[in-house]
Amino acid sequence: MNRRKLLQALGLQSLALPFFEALAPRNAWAQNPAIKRVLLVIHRHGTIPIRWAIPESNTYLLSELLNPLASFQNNISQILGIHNPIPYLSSSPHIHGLAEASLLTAHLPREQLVYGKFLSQGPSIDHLIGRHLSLGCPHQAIHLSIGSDEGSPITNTHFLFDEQGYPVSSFADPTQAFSLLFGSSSIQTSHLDSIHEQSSLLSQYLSQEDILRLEHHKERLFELEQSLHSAQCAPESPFAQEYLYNDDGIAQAHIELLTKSFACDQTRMGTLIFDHLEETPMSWAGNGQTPIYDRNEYRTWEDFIHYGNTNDDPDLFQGYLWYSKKVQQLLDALNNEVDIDGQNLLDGTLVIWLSNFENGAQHSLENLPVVLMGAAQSAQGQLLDYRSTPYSLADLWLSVLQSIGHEQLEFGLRHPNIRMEMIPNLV
Amino acid sequence: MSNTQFYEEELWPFISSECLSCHQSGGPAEQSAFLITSDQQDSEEMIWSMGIQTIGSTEQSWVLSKARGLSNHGGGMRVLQNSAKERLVKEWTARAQEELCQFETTVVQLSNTETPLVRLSPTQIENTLVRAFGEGIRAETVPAIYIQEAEYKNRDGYTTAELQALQHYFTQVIEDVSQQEECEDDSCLEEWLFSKIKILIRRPLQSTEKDIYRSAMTEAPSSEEAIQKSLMIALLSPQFLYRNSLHNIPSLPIEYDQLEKISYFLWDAPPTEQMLEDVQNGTWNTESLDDLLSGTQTSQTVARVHQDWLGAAKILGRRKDADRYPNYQIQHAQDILKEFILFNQTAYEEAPTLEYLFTSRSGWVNSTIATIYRVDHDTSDWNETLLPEERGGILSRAAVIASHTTSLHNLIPHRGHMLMRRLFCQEYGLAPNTFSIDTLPPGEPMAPQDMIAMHQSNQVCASCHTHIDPIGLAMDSYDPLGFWNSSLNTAGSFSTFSFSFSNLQDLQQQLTQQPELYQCYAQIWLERATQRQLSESDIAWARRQGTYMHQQQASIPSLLSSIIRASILDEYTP
Repeated sequence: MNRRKLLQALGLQSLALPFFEALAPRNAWAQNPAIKRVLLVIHRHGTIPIRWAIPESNTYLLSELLNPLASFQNNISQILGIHNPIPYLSSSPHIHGLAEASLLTAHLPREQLVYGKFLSQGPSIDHLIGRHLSLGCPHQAIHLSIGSDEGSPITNTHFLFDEQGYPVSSFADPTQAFSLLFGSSSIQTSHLDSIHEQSSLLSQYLSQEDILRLEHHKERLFELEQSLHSAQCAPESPFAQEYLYNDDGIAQAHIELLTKSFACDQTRMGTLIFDHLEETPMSWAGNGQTPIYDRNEYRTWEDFIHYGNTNDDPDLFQGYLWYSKKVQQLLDALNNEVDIDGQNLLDGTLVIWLSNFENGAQHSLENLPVVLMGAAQSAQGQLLDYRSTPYSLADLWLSVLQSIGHEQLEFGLRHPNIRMEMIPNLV
Repeated sequence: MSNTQFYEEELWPFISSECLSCHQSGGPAEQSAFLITSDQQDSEEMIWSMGIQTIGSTEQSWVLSKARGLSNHGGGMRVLQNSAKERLVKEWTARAQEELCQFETTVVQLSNTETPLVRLSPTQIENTLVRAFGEGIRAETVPAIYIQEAEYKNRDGYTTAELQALQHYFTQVIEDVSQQEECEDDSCLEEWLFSKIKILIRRPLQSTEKDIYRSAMTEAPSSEEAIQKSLMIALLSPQFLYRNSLHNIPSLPIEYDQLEKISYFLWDAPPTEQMLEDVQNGTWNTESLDDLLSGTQTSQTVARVHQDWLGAAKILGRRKDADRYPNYQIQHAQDILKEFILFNQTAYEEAPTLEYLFTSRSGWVNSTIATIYRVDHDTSDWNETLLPEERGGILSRAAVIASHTTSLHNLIPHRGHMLMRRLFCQEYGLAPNTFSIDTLPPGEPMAPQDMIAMHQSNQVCASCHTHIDPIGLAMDSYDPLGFWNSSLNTAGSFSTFSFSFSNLQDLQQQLTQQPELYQCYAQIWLERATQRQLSESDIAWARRQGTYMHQQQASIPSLLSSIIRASILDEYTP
């Protein structure tokens, strides 16, 4: 008997199966009802630490780099003292790859996928959050990237990993994102019953290993079936535009796509990754025409970060400031939209913005730049300074997991130097 | 030979010449666990104890991994895979683990490992649909939902996003298809449908399967919807999306399984309707195998395999600096890739040998390619022509060159590393912990000769750069878009194979005289045929085929025939 027939037999055919899972007992950690959605925003190469925070102030003051967020100052928690110890535990010299692969997994990467890029030992945090919050939504998570280090419309940012530790792709091209995520035509659910029967017919001839593969296939088809029932609406198709060297335009398109996806309850987990690594001219951070650094002196954006005058260089500052401006646009978009329950999107969304380094020039991993915005913060407009007793990324992600009612009590690598505990006053 | 004799006559000379300079007190590796002295007797116990060390809880040999330049030994000595030195290291570990009998009697034959279910690739999905429904259905290509080859190979199944994208694609295909059929009654419709599904799943339907489709059709309110529903079921079913299940189905003739494997190996497409008929009639046999090796479909597949082997399609995702190359368009990338494909197709059809591939000046040009290759041709039509000398050989084609270049720099080691890895199936470990790209000064890149000299002057760097720099140097006269600069001197020496070269064409000519090239080439094709990671025995078998191909200057079709007979048809090959 398949799932659909079971529902019919029980007289519950009007309900989607997720309803059963919703009846399961909640764990001991109470879910924060304010957090309906989580959005991770990531940019590479850290920041200019001295211009990122003002810890010596008695009241919370926005730093120069966060000044674009002024209208949301009372909705921000800026955190100091989150560090990433994972890369130091590895013998690999590829600090960039290690920092990327461990940022959202808090785990030591395993074998190389390609030179300098790794597979993970576990899923990234978005995977757990998405499976928990997006139950019943068409998409577990939506991953969008601005710029594309690989030059492809669908790219591997090396931050996101699935349960098996394999990379998960992001969409760099908004039109491709729309087409693949929201472009599906309707499909009769009875199709899937027939496909399940076909799978069962084939399974009887297969080895145990292959039977597991087919089970995997069936599970994914079931998730596809779920999406057919639960789509409330869909975003509008973005207009086609060049997705390379057009970060400003793509950022706007992606922000709209994410906002509408949340509003339509297409998903409750999103990631927005600024994916240019080396070669971006960052012209959009300046006058929009010319690169913000001398291409003859500094071969790449990364070179400029490393060899430029890190603290005082106005062009470097402009480059980093551009990220803040995009985050401001994102918050504006969320704040101006309501969800299907009529609630302001930003009020129900926990936005976490961070980078894989503290100081991009020094590749430092202590005191990563982390900012919480939107829903469910323990206080409004605050600087949480934990530098005297620093926490790790594992602590951060565990705190987020527990705040959304996820029952997992550990996350990432178990190590004597990693406490694995809740960060106080966070959410 | 006793262990004592082996140690004195072979192992100690090797270790004292290759390892001792670093792995002794005061040497660069004095902090490592492997520390010896210049005294043969004093060092013996340490050497044997290292031979039994494995990596963590795996069964991988520590010394073998280090000797290959892996496990963070990138700055140390490394042996080429499948070389005599590597074999010596293997014998060291085998003797240390008292597994000498196993080591000595390893039989060179293919592993008898069952092939698991594997997903159809996007190309295979598209070709199977075309085989079933004809060329006219191709509205758009299968969504490009895979990024890296490894990412695709490692998946156990399709993700939900991939299935969603495929379902969207299939919907469009089915809309076109449902307008094709012209049946007037149900039995005609059923016959038409089952004939299509037979091609899609590469075998006749079983009666139970037919009942499932009949039931689905009965529920549909119209014949058009019956077709749409049935085809969607077929296309999302594992019988279509996965292959390698046919040998498990009882009472199904084994020829269906063989044909499925052969056709996807040679064409990335299923067997033709006629082939399936021949199996059903009992008239298909392996005597027609050689006919399958010729023809356009096979030449197209060979071109694609070469494209993947040399990474020539990476150009489609390579950004080129908009400031330095303001006129660069994606059409440039598409054109140079098409030139690569056409060259490889034609080469297979006219002179299918590796020597031809790496030396030929034959090429195809349109107006874009003509500009890059400096030939006269001012129309958008494609014409075959003889190219200038600097375009001799596959490595000089713009797709290969531009694919292995970042937008700003030619990067000798970058190009060299990527191509050495591909041409010779060699893995290179990471740079040592003490090295970082940050230590290089900013500004303009170093002159090629200065960079080569810097690498050679440092023992730690030279262990890898000796092997990866030469090809990069030979390619240095071609810019990131594939244009050639005649003023640059790119002569050098390739100590890995003990030859000198004056330019890229000279290097390619000499590479075709190295058996390692043919051995790796055979490995590539064997992996494609077996659809699994190759075991040591498989690699040894492939190397033997490659060696034979080199010695006899055998053609590519003869290699493919050997591989099919051994890996798919289970026939013995020497």
